[in-house]
Amino acid sequence: MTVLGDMVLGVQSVAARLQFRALGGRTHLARQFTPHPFHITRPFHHPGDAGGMATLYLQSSSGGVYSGDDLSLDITVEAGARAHVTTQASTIVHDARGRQGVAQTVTLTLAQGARLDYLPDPAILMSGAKLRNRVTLHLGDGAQAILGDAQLAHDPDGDGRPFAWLENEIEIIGPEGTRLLDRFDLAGADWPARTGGFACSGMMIVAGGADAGAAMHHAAEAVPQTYAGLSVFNDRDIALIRFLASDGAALSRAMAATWRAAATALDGQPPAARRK
Amino acid sequence: MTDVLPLLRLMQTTDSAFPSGAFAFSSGLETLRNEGKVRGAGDVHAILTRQILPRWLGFERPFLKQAMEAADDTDRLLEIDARCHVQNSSDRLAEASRRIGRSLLAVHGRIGTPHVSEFSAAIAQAGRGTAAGYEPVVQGVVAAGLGLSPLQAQAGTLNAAAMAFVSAAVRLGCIGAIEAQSLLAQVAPDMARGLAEPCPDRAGSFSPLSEIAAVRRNTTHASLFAT
Repeated sequence: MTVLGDMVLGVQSVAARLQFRALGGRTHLARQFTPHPFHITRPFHHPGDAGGMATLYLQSSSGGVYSGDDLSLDITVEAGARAHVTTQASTIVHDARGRQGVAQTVTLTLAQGARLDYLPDPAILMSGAKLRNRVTLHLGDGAQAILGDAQLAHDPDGDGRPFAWLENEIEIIGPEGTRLLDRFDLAGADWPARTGGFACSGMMIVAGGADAGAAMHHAAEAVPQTYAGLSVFNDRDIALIRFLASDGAALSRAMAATWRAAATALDGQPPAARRK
Repeated sequence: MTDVLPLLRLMQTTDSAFPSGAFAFSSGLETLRNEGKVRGAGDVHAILTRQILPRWLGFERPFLKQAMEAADDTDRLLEIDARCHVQNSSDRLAEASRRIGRSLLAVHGRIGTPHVSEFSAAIAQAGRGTAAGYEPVVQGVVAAGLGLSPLQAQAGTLNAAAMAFVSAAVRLGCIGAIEAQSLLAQVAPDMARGLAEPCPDRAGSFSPLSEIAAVRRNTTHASLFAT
């Protein structure tokens, strides 16, 4: 990105790629390309995780995302491989200052029998922020995914200036075509009215394991300061729990609890806790 | 005569006495009332203007408009309906939409509204069964069959949605009958402003409070409504 004072002169398009492969009962990072601002930890394995799942943390070396950023991330999980990809912290979407805003495009491709838990921390939408977020999950036969998506609005100066807008789209595509498309366009000024005053919104989706829905719902109901509802689509083998949370801490607890419940339901054993 | 006839048919088909089955759904209001989140007219007004109307304008309206434009092309209608199917990410709202849509198909099929029997046959032939026939898509087909203008169709169906919600509020004891009419009068300018905005090219919905309420499994109260 070329910056001259506050003036962004160009769009920064950056594409990162990760590819996971199963070898000898464990999943490894077979390929990676993570240009700035992407940064990753070394993948590691939790002893308590099922099936040799690899865990990898995405990091940002830029302190958030800025207007003009056009960031894309492609994650491929090869047949039979299992990966857990999360972020080190929330992504701060900075004030666009009247410019074009941020585009984030994530493409997740799971081959036959693969498993991916993709759990980014919430996007923090600062006053004036503009974010176009698109996540597309391609699901091969027998593949399973747990997918988290969450946002919270933050007005650091307390002057009532909302984020500018959010376009959010989650699409799940199976071999036969689109199974689910959850999308919305929202002006930041409408956020409090639509959320009923809750500061945070999120959802957890299980694709390829609708039976996990009941466990997610039970877990979400136990998290204080949240309001959650489960939808189950047995015809497409998808469970989706949507929740509102009063603050970032409650949102994080809801995300962690529903992921843990979903992973336990899919694997038959609880996953190792992910520390941040 | 030519202007009045479609208007008369619009009033018939969007009247609360028309057997669409919409009376069985409260769009989450019953849960919100049972959980103490809705207590009176002010809360009903807030849910209607901040949840129900935005969802209709952002989600139902584009499907209605697209279906109306494609009413004589059953392949295209099936595509639009399938898109509505995958975009309905709240299971009970999706089920409600299908139930109302199929009721409309059945009634309009029997009274001979143009395009309707062809769409019903296409759904059956495609083997889509109970996964098809979403309310806004059927409403678009019906509107085209009745010769309505796009604005007439949208105004009529939006008003029907508002009336159904307010009727549910009355039956739940949230508001009285006179308050209900006052509320409808209050929100009419909101609906007019919404319809004056361009119809979105792509459907989308962010009304999480009512969408969550509509899908919450009720374990503590006997339910009057299906959503």
